Order: sequence, then C-alpha cells, then structure tokens
Amino acid sequence: MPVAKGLFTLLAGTAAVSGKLGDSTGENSLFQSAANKGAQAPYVVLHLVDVPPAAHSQDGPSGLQNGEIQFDSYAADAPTARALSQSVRDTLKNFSGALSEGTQIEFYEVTMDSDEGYEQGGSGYVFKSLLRLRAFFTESGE
Amino acid sequence: MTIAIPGYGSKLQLQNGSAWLTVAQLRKLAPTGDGSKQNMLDQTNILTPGNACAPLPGRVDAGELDLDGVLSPQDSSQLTLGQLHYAGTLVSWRVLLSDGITVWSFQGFVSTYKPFDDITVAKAVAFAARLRLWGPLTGPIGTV
Repeated sequence: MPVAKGLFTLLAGTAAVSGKLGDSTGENSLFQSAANKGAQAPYVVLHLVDVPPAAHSQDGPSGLQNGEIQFDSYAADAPTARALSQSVRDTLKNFSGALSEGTQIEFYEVTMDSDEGYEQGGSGYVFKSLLRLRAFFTESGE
Repeated sequence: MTIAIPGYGSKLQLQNGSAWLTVAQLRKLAPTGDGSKQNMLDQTNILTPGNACAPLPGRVDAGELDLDGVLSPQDSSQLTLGQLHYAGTLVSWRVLLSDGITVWSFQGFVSTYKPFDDITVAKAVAFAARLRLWGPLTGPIGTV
C-alpha cells in the first residue's frame, strides 16, 4: 500500500526517529505487517488496522480514506521501545501534507499509546510499545 | 421470489435548461413526515348517518424531501442548490431509482439549504437541503 511506503520514507527521513532505529536508513528497521528476518532492533512494524473510505454516496466510495494506523515499536528494553514509539508519535500526530509517493495525509488523533510488555523476537526477547493514530488520507491516483 | 431494490445507484436530478443535472454524491433522499398527504376535511354534521366521521378528501400536498450528501465543495450541482434556494426558483426535479427504469418527477423549491453540515473532526463533511414540492408527484402510472 503506497501510504505505508510514504510513511516509511517520512520516518526514515526524520532524525528523531531514524536516530533511534537499529538501521537508520529504515531498510531493516521499518516493516509493514511483520518484521523480516534479520530485523535490526529497535524497529517499527506498521499495521493498517482499518482504513475504509471516509464517506460513501450514490457516486460510490470516496477517495478520501479515514483510517487507523498502528505502529509497533520493538527494542531490547522497554524504555528504548517507548522512546522510539514517542518519536514516531511526535513526528506524525500533527503531520499534515504530502508523502513522498504522493499520498496526501493528515493525522488528527492518537487513539492508543501503551506499553505491551515483551515477546519472543528473532534473537531473544523484545519489548514493544504500541501506538495507534487516526488519519485522513488520499492515495495518489484516487 | 419478492422484489427489492437497493438505495445505492439512485439519482436526484434537476432540470438545467434542456439537460438534467445530477446532484453529486447524494447520500440520502427521503420524504419528510407523511410524505404526500391528502388534506381531509371534516364534513360530518348532524345529518350524517351513523356515529362515525365522514371526511371529505381535499387537495393533496406532495410534501417535502430531505436530502443530504458528502460535500464536494466546488461541485456545481451542489452549489446550484444554494442558488436555487436564494432565488426561490421553481424547478423540475426527478428521482431515478436504482432499477434503472423507475422515475418519479415533480416540481419544487429548495426550501432549506445547508452548504456544509456535520463538521466534526473524524468525519467527512456533509451538505443538506430540503425540497418543497409544488404540485403533484408523477410516477410510473401517472400523477399521484
């Protein structure tokens, strides 16, 4: 989904976020849906939780989407995971504009911001902070 | 098997010269109250047989239609509603149902107009209007 790619580019290009990633380019630290093997912690996994059209009419669904996007931040310890999650939140919560691949997006609400404890990672345990943001966006070509 | 049709695919159009202009991004179209209503005059008097009222059907008032939709701020069909409202212009309208063949037509004024409605943070902005029908409705088997 283009919006995910655009968000990855934005996060990788924001020093406050990229400086906290295991791979500051984002290549091995920014993922959609699931982390790849060889993910370099700390890393972020993005989920498009629910991104339906913002409105429906007799002319069909709108190109404008109104959705919830989740960012799971993983790190070897809880404070590092939290710091990464906060940097993602602070970068995006008031962001409004065009992403690199053409999506126009406007974040307007933080719906969840919590620590989720630890879970088994690829090489040991990783701690997770969960962040959910709501946004209106229109992908390129809509 | 019974017959039903979906609301999706229906259209509201207004006559614009020789063309019909579809109101864009319509979401809802519904008669207000009882819809078309016949005024019933009470002609009951002491000579009326029995113990029941005997009303006399009077004129039919075709009533009003409420409409709302998803706002497209620069769309000419939506903006035209506002112009018709301000000018008090009587225009011809028609509702095309989603079966593709059924048409209901009437004349009416745009009696109320909301250029924007329901502006809330987490929703798409809407528009709304109300049509005051003038004269009767005409449907598949004629005037009703």
